[in-house]
Amino acid sequence: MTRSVRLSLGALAVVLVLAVAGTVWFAGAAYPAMGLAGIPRDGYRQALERVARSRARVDGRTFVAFDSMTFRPADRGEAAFAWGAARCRAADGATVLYWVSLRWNPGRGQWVRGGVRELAPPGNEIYFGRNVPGQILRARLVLRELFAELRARFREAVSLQGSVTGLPSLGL
Amino acid sequence: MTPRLRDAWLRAVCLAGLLGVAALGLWRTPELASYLAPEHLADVLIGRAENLVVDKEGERDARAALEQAVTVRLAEWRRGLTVSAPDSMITEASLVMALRRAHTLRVEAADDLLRARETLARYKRLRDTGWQGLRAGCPAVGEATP
Repeated sequence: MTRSVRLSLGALAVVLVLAVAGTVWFAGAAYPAMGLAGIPRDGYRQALERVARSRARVDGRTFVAFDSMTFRPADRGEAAFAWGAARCRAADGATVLYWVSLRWNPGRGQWVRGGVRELAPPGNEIYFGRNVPGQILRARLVLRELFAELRARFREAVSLQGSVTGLPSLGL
Repeated sequence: MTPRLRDAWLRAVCLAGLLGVAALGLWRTPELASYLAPEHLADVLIGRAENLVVDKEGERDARAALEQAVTVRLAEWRRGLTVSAPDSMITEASLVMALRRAHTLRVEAADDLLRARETLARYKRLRDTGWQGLRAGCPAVGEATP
């Protein structure tokens, strides 16, 4: 193996490691707190609505209202949880429900996203039959959903950086 | 350091490590912890059970929302509001099947929540009785009669 090939492989490995580390940092640490700073612990309604509106806007939908909303303080300590089902409207008039969950992080003193996801989208495993689709297609659908979620998070982060001030710069 | 001394050191370090691991393992058994550190045991067991109850409450509500989402999709399909793409898995039959599955998942989640609450209540009862039920030599608990 020549020296230039070794160098190229090394550089590729470094780029890959940095990309994976950056993605993990973004998805696990930066994105969950984005756009939620300054909302107090008892402002969970505002936090839930902000998260739902933000995701709906990125997906090209319009937020309508929350069908259900729950605030659940932990039995001990300052931690708290909030979750709910948000009803949104697609451009073709169809109704889409999103599941939004948040938790109050006492250390950071702010709400952070636990998860935001569309409920029962096309291609979801809830529609899988015993043998349909096949294993390969199942794997492709799961991977497609995973990457779609990551892409939505990036787009949401970019959109939030444009609309809310005081967010940490992601350099996007 | 002579080879003999080095071997003795290595043996001592390995022995200390083994004893440490054994002590940690014993410390975590309910039988010993209920004697040595009852408050720590209460924090660990009850704290975990409380977190589990919160998780299961969220899961139950998430499953209920999933069932609602599939119900809405089925209703819109029947009203002709939704048109499926040619390669889509969504048909009336798959929506009906998905609704049944979502209902089952919701019922399972409700069961899980019930079990989590029972576990929490059991740990609280054990704590209130001074962890008697966890200690070695406690009388065996018979099966509950219906």
